[in-house]
Amino acid sequence: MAIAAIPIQPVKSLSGNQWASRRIIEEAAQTFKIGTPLMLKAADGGLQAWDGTAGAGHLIAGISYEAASNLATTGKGAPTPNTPVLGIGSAITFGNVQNEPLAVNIPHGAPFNDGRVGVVIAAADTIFSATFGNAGVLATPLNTDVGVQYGMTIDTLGNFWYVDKSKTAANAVVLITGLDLRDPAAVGARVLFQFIAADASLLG
Amino acid sequence: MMVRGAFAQALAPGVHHWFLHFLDLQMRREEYSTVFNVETSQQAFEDEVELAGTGVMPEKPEADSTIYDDMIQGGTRRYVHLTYALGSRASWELIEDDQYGIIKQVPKAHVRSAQFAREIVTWNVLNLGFSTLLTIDGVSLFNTQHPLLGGTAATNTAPGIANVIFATGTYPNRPSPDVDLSFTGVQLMINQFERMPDSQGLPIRVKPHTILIPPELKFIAREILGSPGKPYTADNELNALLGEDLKFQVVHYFTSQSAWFGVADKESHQLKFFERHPIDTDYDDDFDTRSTKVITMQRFSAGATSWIGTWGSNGP
Repeated sequence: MAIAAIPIQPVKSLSGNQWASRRIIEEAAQTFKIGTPLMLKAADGGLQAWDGTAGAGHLIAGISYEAASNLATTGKGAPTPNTPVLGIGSAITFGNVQNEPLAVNIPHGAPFNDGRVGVVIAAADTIFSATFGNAGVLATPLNTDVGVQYGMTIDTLGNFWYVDKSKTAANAVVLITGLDLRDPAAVGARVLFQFIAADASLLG
Repeated sequence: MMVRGAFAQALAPGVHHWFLHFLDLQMRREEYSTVFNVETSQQAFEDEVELAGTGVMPEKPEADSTIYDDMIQGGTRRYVHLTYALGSRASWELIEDDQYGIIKQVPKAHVRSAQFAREIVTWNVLNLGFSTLLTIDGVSLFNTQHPLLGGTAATNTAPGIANVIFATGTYPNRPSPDVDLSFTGVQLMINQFERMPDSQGLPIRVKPHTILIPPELKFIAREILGSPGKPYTADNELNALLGEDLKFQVVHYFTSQSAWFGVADKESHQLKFFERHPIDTDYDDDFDTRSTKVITMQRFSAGATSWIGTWGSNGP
């Protein structure tokens, strides 16, 4: 069966401060959506979609708050210290330019791009909300799920991630901290969680 | 966080003079605005599109039909404004015990930092113009082969450029190999300027207005451009560069000691600086500690829409 999950979003912080977020260079060829767990590629530090594996080498950087731009190269056009944006300023182009093979047409109003993508850091201070499921089926979160560690799985309908009750122990990456009171108790209701520190790569 | 322990000298009266770098070392005249075209923006970004006109008008033989030619839309250059910000924080006790009111002047230090940011970011358009800073044609700002929208027809049309270009359909604004600032180097620059065509090969008759140099080249520039006779020769020849009315400007933000540049007057080049939000300072107190936080922010972008009217040599 398939789950139509809601994008993961940060909802509050324990400290009451704005949750920590950063914009980091985006890895090449990324097509992840908003609300996707991200990880840093060791080779170049680019942000890419998390591969779903818990543990060392697969630590979660945070949750994307922007969709990926499918860049041709990692961090294409990103400014370096003391420079303006060095790329063309958009990942969307059309057609071609006569006799200038490296020039591009940018559709008027196309979103700008600076080679980076935004991520809400998987810090212990930040509480996220995600759909609750169990091995591909929407599940009803219970009070007994609070305080339990679970894993995460990407759904097959919308390609959003949900907290997966079937993944526990070594496959767990989040700690359920509460029920999302915006949702009535029902299958697919959202839960509040924070990332397990040992599974997170950035701390804020 | 600035606390009293780090500013012990400010806690007691008696210091004759505080040598404040951000006030006593005055920020000198703004440099980027003397060269870059400064514009304002009210958007997240600004798009600029190039458009080439029509080519040469040919003869129409008697009773023959007129030849039709099209204008050519070029590429897009987008300026994405970035935010630059800096904050400082001082303890309530430090501000209260500061006998000289120095700590309260941190916004003035921030302004100096902000002004440096806009200078270095803007001048990096030229510093990086040999490599990563691209113009609307998709190649680096200073390039030996800028592709022309008119292609081969453009270089076939442009008069007298056979010995200037390195490939048909292109035009250089950089020597190959790069040359030092010298009498012959300046002559080479002038030649490439004078022959500069538009994208259809029509001469634009642009002249270099200012040579931009790092401080190390100031003396050579003065000799080359100011000597009444041809410099570095024993002959009594006229210094032919005097008639060019070239000026030179020392830029203190150039990272290379040997790279030098030529630019036409502002109306003839497309080096741009967009002011999205001017330098702006704000402050607030932290309720728990009563420490004061001061932040200074600004938003701007800089770049080059086109290479026309610019020239650069990365030294040898």
